[in-house]
Amino acid sequence: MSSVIIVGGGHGGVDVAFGLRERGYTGRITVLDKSGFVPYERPPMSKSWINGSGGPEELSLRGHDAFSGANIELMLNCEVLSINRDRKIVETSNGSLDYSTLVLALGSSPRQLRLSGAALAGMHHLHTLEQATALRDDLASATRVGVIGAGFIGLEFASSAAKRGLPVTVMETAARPMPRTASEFTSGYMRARHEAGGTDFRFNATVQEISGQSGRVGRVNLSDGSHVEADLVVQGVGALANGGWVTDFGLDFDNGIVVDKTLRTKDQDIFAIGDCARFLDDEGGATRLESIGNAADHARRVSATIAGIPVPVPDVPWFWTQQAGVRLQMAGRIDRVEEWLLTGVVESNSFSVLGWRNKKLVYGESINSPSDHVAIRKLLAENTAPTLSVLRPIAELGLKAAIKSLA
Amino acid sequence: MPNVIFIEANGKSRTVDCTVGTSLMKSAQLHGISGIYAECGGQKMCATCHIYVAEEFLNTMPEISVDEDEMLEATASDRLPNSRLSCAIIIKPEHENLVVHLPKLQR
Repeated sequence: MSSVIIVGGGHGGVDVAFGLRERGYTGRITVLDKSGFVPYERPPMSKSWINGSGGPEELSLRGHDAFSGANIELMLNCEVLSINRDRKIVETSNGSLDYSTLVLALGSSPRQLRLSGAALAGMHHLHTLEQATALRDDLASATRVGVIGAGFIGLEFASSAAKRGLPVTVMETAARPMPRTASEFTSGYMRARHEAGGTDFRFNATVQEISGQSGRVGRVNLSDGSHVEADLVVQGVGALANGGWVTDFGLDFDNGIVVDKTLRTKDQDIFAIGDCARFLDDEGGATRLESIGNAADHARRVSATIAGIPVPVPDVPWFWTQQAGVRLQMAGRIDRVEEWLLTGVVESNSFSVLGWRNKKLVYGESINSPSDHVAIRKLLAENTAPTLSVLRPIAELGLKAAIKSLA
Repeated sequence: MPNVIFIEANGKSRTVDCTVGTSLMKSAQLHGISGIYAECGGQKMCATCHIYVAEEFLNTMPEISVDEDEMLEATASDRLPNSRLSCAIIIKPEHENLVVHLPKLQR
């Protein structure tokens, strides 16, 4: 019988499994995960969950009975030891398994700072459920919080900690928050919102070492000689693709598992999806994205490919974050932007910032405006956005009203 | 624990034992109801958990918030008077035998 083995029970892996059944695949489906938890979702871990009292079950992506109901075998605490590509067998800590198709949905892992003192008690990463649980427990008795890195995770956690009334200082090597994932304009707006909520920032700050007493963190020392006092520190300094080990089995890895436009590795029966996949984008550029939207899109396409039905076109990349009481949603590719245009009025606290290349829309971020976000995704997907010169004079109307006025 | 009946666009129905206090979206996901994507995880930011609530249960539904209203304007299948985002509906005891219809498309 045909058999699909999915390695990794995150958003992408679980979506492939259920996506295959939805698309009529009748062979065997097995999801392996090295953690002992039923697959769970991560977004709430830095937001509502960290300040709540719910257990792991509150984060479940699908319950046990959903897996058994869809006839999907879930193997937890199961690690891949080797792949025999000629015989199409995966050796795992639970024994060997045959596959017709193998899907690697291995995710990413937080980048580790090599700092003296990084192993002190009170130093945290926020990536797995175990880490989130340890952080939540520790947060209960923390008095001053430090955050290294002003990316999504760092800022989401900072606002959750600030909400508890804790003093929070965010340290960032760049001159602004979210330097690679938001426009300068939105960065400035978000900075002000975080500061209004009581969060302090140290920009252009490089961490030199962590020091402490009796085995617990006490301060973060910066290279300019200053320091930040904190008895709990979260490091959110980016993530690296998992799966470097696939090179042992002849597959390519270069900042991620190397796949083509269809998410196939050089072995036509092995796919890689989500955070761990370095794929070719619509312009043929080598790309790796870390987001649920990307994992869901990859899962949809790979499950259609395996089920033998028409494969949908790749989704426009999209991202979201919630911090300092603001809902921020992005669509498209910020790395392609050459020019910016604000639509709407900042004072309304609901607006969008659009990114253009050669006067063509390539990206947009929406602040407290999910409907703008949906409109931007549609404009990008259908390639129907007005040009920059047409939109500029009427930008103050706001995106939707401006487009309506052109119709 | 209230039973909720999910009816897919193709007429196939499934009854799910839901937990009071959790969202209808979460219950559907936990039980593997296909056709509820909930890509944003219940933040009212994506409109991929759109459902149609059977008329006789409309009076048990919470008010539609501004956020939900905005997203309901962006659903992949038509918005109807009984359209809701299932992430915005918290299960209550009076939802016993609640019937919800899933749209043809979520995205």
